[in-house]
Amino acid sequence: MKPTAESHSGPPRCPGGILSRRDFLRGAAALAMAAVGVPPAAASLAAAIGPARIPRAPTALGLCQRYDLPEVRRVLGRMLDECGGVRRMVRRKHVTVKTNLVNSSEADLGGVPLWLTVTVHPVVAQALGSLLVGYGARSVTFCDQLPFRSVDAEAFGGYGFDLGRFNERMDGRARMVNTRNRGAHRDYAMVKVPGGGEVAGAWEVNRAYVDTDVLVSLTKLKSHVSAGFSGGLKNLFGLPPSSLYGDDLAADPDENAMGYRNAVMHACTRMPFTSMKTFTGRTVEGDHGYNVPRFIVDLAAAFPIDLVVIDGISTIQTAEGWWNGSMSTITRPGLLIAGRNPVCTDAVAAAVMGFEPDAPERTLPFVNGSNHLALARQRGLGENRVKELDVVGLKLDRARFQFHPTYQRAKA
Amino acid sequence: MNATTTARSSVWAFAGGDPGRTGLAAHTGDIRTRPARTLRAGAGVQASVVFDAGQRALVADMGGMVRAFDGDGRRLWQQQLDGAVSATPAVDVENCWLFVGTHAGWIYGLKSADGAVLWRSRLPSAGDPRIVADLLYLGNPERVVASSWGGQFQALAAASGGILHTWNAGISPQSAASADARNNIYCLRAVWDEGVSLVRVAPDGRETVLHRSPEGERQANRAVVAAAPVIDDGRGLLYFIANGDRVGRVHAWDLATDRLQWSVEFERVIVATPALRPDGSLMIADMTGTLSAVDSGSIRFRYDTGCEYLLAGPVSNGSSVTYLGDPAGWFHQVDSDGTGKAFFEAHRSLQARPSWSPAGDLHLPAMDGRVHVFGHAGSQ
Repeated sequence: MKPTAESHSGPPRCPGGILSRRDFLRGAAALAMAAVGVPPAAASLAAAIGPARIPRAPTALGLCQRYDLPEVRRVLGRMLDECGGVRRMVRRKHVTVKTNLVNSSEADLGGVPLWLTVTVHPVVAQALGSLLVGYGARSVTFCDQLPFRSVDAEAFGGYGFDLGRFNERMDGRARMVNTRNRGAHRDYAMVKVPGGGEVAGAWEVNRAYVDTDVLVSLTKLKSHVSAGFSGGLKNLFGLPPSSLYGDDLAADPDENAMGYRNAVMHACTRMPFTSMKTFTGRTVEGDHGYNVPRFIVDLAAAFPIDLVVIDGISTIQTAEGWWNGSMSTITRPGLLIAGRNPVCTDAVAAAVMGFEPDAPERTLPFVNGSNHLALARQRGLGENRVKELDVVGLKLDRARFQFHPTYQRAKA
Repeated sequence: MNATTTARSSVWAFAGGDPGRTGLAAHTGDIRTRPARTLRAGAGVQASVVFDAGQRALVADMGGMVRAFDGDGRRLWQQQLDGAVSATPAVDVENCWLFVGTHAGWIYGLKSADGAVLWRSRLPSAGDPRIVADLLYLGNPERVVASSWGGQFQALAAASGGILHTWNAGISPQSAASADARNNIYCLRAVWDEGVSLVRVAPDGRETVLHRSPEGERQANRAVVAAAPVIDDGRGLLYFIANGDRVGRVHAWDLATDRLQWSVEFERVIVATPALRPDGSLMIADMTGTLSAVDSGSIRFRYDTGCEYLLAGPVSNGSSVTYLGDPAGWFHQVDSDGTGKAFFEAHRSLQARPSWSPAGDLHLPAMDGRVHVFGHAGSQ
């Protein structure tokens, strides 16, 4: 099966398309039409894409029981070759790796460190980085928004990401950028959602996610209370910066903000402080299970992911983090998952966890809301139905490792 | 110590072998280092294998399938249930009844001879109904004890599934109830503004809070209450784990005086139920990946498995040899003096406590859907 993502040359490109003021106004007009009953462009796009045209790409599965760098690098290298086209995709390119860290580096689960439970293990990041450099990448920039005002690389230290150690393995081509605000850039990038988006028409983000050739989502295999499952797509939730979307903003943007994005992107009780109106207002106040999956899809549409790598060696189940309480338990699938279409890759990952990736909304594992994998297919982003998916390397049946699904929120 | 700790039951009918969850078998001598056979489940196995009087091995898996195997590994029957199973079932050996709890909140009563469903009962819950704590069966009156995330322990009539009585199980309970030789039930629960309590429920339903560990900074909803109390009837001691925010705390409770006898603190929390050895030592698998032997409040030795943490408890035999699986897939044997070795590697994670068959074979469940059966050294 031919991978849908293609290598590209020339200057760094914006994954979703830089939004000009003219584009934005055109988008705003479309949203206004939707508000008076004209179907949104996204819906027409979905209707226009038949099953045969839904993008798909192989997903590679590999067993790996330990965070041993040579072993992780060997298994992951084989998997990336099985995915096909990764070497060519990154050769002489600037690569941005969105890592899956969280808004604290000081937490733990009963004394067990974050990288064994909630965040991507630094060994997996190092292995990936060294492979990409080995394939000829010009630079590999690890990004996430982290709640620290310290220098970029220092902010990553608490998560086990040591820039010096990374560069020893990556010929000095590693960088680490905290994207909680605009950072060293003069301005933000405004990125439109093709087709207008359902809940977000555009995103305003740090330019690290735009001034790049290749976008990689490096994430942890986890359950998620609002999204049911957390993989390469959900990882994009970390792109909108605290400085514009954070809970600690009062009335204006603030480059010092470090808060999470609960009010704006979960409960949806207020709009972000972006330079233009970017959200459609078609969210449901207080319904995380409705809002979160739709924001995920609008992020995925705006920021096409070229490669997903999922750390499923050691993780937690039932919920995505310690903040959910003692029902989160540690488990050890001993797996790595990689693929070039994020919807396909996440769908395979969900199937590995013992879930139906095309399950109806508000059923397992999406018990608290919508199925973002199905929404993503309907938007033409990729295939999520198991029988349509192509798995390479380890067979799906051999990789399967049943998770405890996320818990059902108590009914009010 | 002069007394000897002995296994209370010859048939391993519960997680940990008996209602006291001791993890101690009467068998002596080593097991073979290669599996004699493998039992195939339908999905990953997180629940321990239990047995009935007919020496049937009863395997419940994460796909909700229960299978029975005879002593030679032949499959006898299978029954599909509604919901995954991670809680170890319990067996009424006398009547050959098997009780299974699922993530969908159902308790099933099955005939262990043929898998026929006797009854099923859904535990009441306003929210998530899942059952993750190991089940307990007690006679006189015959009842099954289970808890769900509805936050209640339920004692159900073994013959019908009807609820006999209930009591508070705390926040999202994971820790199983245990029982002493007089059928007093002991359990742990985490409660808002209270912390973690050790509770005794007498056969008449009377409840007594024996010990209370105050709530940590992270509050009770983050307290890890997963390991079951372990009861050494011979010595009149009960061991329980009341974790702090980050550290593990093992307490010894004197059942004769109802006083705390000693406590030992560990670097990280403990989720696995400990095992006893015949000399009364408590074998504790913790979240640093270490197996420790604790005797009278002192750590006698530590054995490093090489894995970052341990999820499943150990078991011991009558020769004080302890067996333990780790989440990276290695199976370890630790001798009475603390010397040990990893002697078998499974394809996938080991997250269930092993169990002993009546014939002395050790059954090791794995997340690849296999149960590895190790014969004792004297077997063919």
